[in-house]
Amino acid sequence: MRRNSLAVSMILCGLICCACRTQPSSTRLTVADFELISTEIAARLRQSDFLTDRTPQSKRLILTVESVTNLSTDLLSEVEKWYLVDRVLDAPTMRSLGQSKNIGFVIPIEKLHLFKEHVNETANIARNRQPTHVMRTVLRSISRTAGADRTDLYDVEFKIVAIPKGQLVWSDHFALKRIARGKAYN
Amino acid sequence: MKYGNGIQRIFSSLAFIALSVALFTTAGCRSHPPAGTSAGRVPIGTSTPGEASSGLMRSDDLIEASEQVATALSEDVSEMALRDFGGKLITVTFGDLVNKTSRMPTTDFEFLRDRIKSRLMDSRFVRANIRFVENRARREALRNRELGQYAGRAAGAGAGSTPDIETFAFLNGNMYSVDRPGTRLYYLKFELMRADDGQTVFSKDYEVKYIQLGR
Repeated sequence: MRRNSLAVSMILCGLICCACRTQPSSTRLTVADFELISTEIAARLRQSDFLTDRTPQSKRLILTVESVTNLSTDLLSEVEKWYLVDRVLDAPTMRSLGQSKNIGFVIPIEKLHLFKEHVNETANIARNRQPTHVMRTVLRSISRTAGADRTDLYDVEFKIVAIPKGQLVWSDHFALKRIARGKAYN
Repeated sequence: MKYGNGIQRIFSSLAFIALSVALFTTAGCRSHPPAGTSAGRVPIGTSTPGEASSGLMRSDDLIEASEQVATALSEDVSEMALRDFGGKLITVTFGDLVNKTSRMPTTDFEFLRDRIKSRLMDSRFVRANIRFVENRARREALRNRELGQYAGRAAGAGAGSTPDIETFAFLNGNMYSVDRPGTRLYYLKFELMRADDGQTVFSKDYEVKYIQLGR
């Protein structure tokens, strides 16, 4: 009897372990990916010709940002989009730019509109907001699948555009690859 | 008495099974990485099973192709700027870059196109002679969005925001493919059109050959 019950329990465990192994596997971006992308891009921007050529005496540059344009297969919430760009601007390498490079940061226009709605004020708030440059971010991905194997290459493009001339003054890419095995319905 | 022993045995066996199942289940499920870690990230150059058998270009090949085309294009465009515009700083906007291949997915094409554009803009050769601007619709949208009613007060607003027509050009391009068993040839044709008279001042093809391995 004991032998039988042991055998039954082993079979059950085997089945359960197999079920666990086919747990859904995903190539979606993780929080660690967001951190890697933002840290890397902040470092590259800091070292770019666009910034290294600037001094405290350079003409004042007022930078604003736009939310991420997500053209990838991953679904990003508004919060996640803002998290990615905010992390670039909040990186330790970027914080010292105010004085050393004569750069100011102003509230993004989307956030300003939300703020105005929230405080129910339409006049005079950010009246003198005049950004000279905007940072844009585009997230793309290319997907490859073969059977149960899936690969997604994510490519994030950051670029800074001068306002109002529309001149592209800086751009860079960062790519990362994620793999997964298994179907979403497993 | 005999029945009592039998029932006890059955209960103890069931308890043993239940305990074993609970233990192995926990152990089995814990062996998986928790969701949200970077366990699935691999270096860019890694050839993955998903790519190898997909029948499409590997992402690494796309990146390499974009680097090669951008390097060649930047050298050619820089030479042209010196030759045809007398070394003046010319303003270029990206016009139509169209995917006319038979099998390249739009996402792949846009990925390749944007990397070429970005690498071109980053080239020191190119930046010495050329500055890139957004197209007119995007420039105006950006100006209205960011500056709104105060747009007129911005430095450089108005006439200064329109490029000088004599040194203004559009970079257009098409991408084609030739598909033959085992080999796929992609070629990108780039043309630079001077805005002033519509003359094509530069035209060149760049080829990317892809030999398909596996199925």
